[in-house]
Amino acid sequence: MKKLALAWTRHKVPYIFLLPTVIGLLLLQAAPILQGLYLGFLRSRKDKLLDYLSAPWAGLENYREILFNPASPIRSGLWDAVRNTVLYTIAVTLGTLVVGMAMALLVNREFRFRSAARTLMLFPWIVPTYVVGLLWGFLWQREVGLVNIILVDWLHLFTVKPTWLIGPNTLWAIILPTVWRQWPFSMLMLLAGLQSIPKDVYEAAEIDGAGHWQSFRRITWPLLKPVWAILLLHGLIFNVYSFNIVIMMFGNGAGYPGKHGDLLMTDLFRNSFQMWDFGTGAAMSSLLMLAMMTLVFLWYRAFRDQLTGK
Amino acid sequence: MTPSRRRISGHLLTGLTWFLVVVHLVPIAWMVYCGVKDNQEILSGKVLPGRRQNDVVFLRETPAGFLAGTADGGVTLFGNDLRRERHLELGTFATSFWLDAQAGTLWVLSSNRGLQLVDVGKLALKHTYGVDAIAEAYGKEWATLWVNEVAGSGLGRWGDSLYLSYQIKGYPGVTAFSPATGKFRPMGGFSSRQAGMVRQLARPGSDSNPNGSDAAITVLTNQGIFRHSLQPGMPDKALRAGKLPAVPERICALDERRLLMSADSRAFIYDVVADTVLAWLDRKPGSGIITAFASSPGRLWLGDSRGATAMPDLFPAPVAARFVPGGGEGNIPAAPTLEFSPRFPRVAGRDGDITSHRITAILPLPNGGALLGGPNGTLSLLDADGKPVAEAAAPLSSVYLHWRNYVDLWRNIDFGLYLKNSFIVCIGVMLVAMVLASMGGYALARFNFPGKNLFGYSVLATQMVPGIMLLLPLYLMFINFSRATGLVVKGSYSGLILTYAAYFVPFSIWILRGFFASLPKELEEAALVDGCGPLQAFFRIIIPSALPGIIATGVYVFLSAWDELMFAWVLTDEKTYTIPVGIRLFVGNFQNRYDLMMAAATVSTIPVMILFFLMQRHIVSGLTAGAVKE
Repeated sequence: MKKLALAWTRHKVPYIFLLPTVIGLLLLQAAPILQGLYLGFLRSRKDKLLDYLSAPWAGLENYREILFNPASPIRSGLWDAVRNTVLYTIAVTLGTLVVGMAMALLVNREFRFRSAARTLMLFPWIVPTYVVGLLWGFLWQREVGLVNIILVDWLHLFTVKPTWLIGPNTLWAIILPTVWRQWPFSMLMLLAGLQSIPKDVYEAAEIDGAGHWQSFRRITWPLLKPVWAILLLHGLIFNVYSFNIVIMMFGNGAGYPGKHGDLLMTDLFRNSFQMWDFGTGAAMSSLLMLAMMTLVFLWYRAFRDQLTGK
Repeated sequence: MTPSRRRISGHLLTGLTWFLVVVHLVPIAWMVYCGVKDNQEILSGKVLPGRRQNDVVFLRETPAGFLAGTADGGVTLFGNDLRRERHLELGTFATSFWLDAQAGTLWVLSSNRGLQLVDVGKLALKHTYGVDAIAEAYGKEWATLWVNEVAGSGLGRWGDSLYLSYQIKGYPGVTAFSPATGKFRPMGGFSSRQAGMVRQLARPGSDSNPNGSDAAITVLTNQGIFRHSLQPGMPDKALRAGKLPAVPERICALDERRLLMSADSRAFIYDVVADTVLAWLDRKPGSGIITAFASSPGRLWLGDSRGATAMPDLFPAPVAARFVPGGGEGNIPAAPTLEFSPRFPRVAGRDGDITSHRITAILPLPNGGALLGGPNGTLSLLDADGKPVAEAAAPLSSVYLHWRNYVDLWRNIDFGLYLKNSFIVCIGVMLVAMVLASMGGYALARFNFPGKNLFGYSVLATQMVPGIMLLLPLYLMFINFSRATGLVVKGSYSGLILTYAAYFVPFSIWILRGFFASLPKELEEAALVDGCGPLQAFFRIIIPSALPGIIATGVYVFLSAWDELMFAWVLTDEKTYTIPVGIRLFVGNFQNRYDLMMAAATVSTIPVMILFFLMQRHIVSGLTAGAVKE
């Protein structure tokens, strides 16, 4: 107590500056998170919702239901969502990185109206994600969508118009728009990284006889490691928690994409706010949080050296 | 590589870059384009916009020549030899016309412009009584008009008043308009309002006593026919629709007591006073649907997809009979009929080259011939023997792109409210985040204190928490807080703003910490030497020099809050719905209205686009600086 009082008098200014933020975060972040962890152990369903934290204790029942009850629809729905989310996150993160890198290399050359091209490329990144879902939900429509108009009516690539929003194609139907929206951000970051690499490194490599590919592999990519490390983390968090695109793309806003396109966030949201089962919802959220913490920790272990500087 | 080869490959790469930029922007361009397109064209898979539907729906003979009106609001005056003399383009939809020959004025009713008055002599627009004026007369009873979905309108003048109606579900019956006062008046008590929509208006009977107690208009709805009294408070009388040979689709008055109606390929004549069917007429098999009709003294005219037929009017008195033109049946003698096969000019219109002879309007002429109107504003003049003598076309209508979707968004789905809510919430979050994050970021960048690392890392860790983890307890917390204190949190602006702030402040602190760390320390040291306290130094010196960074962070928070759906979905109510919630709701309610969806998508993208491009340099440098430096 005495120590605390001492610290307060000696560091009054930063503490005063941080006080409102700390109070706000305690109330609106820490308190909900703790309650959320606790809710996972309660039987907090439709009729017991208003009991709040005094809903009946369920122990590990929710967790058992999610993880080990083979008959539970919640469990099978969750595992579909986990599988889709893993595929989606990997595909989108890598796709974004590859496209972003290629475009960054293209824009890093000198040509006329270069900054205009870069600005135009940023356009989709500014489109709100719910608009991306709405727009692509329209583009993917079987009969009236632009995708099928181009692929079938103009290019004659298929004889029958493919269905995009039902069945196994759904995963592609959500991966592509996300990459479309996200790669400009990767390009922006990688371009900034590229421009910070001194030119003489490449000149030296050229004198040593290195080709384009070699100088990219041996110089550019390793030097950009801090940037793409951040992009990997950003992709991980952004895509695992992706919600808007899927919810707007399917079912005219009702948002159930079927078992081939359901993601964790949509599954959790539906379970919580349409089935009104907060207990399992909170349990699933807790598991998800745990998984994310683990992944981020692994990421930190892998890239620690780059981030703390050499 | 030789320099020339290098230059060529450079050009190729530049070309590739621009190609990819264009491909990349196609979805956005398509979104904006479909927002001004007609939904029917979107649904039929048409890529390029067609022209607007401009059937000739109105034909009259005036001293100056023939006056033709088209469904898209084109009014054209033709000479007696069908030479085009003058044209007025009103740019309207679902248009109907009523000519006041004595006053030399033309009344025009449309779904987008309301009621308009045209001077026939000068062929110029004199006055517009807009749709809003009509809606005002109804107050809350009727405020939604989907301009796109109005299938047609009805307009007629009896006595001192005009009577008008739109053919769309939910339109409250018939509206009266007084040209003398310029006021619209709901007729009230219209019994078909629940039943369905008004298709057409007709009034058998003379104008001699428009205020008499038996004065009424006959209203054709999709649920039957009603006699609607012009006297306020008088009950409507449903005609025996059930006893008609078919549910009629169009209607016109033949004289004081008889109505001519048609359904599909069958026409029938109905006596209003006796409330009985006088006769019905079947067209020859293969003639198709009756698309127009008219009457001239002693003659009835029917138009279909091949031409027009004139037949003697043999049904002045009730004769239960069925009559097949050219054949004859029942107790009616077979009557000679005359076929009029029009010759329409070929016009590349909405549906490409027209070869059909579909008749959309018939004007019987005193000499026994007729002027027939068809699709795409085409006209054909025929002599008394049914031989075409002249043909003409009204000017082509404009390309079918329009702003009506935006009008509909604002008038019918409260998009203005959603926009306002989004702005209030996002600006609120932006301000809160700017204040808290500059204080927090400064503290982290400039001071060493116990708990600094703990705070810094817990702030970062919040970014890894799934939003739903917060949302479940927050929802319960808000509801229970309201139950305990009576203060409404869920559904209030402040509840959402604070929630968002808690979500976005940690990230902002982290960005701003970098900004403050990059400022030279000498700034506040000089201020401290000058006798400022640390607080004064912060507000007077640090904030102004870090302002670009603070604003850029604020804009970033604004953009993120604008894009948030999940929290808003749960924590708002109908007074505080933000744009994503509103769009989600209306998308669920109006399936397949892609034109409206894309218009809404465009509107919700424009503010963030503008904001981003105003602040582009700051945001980009702020984000990339953080990434590259770390």
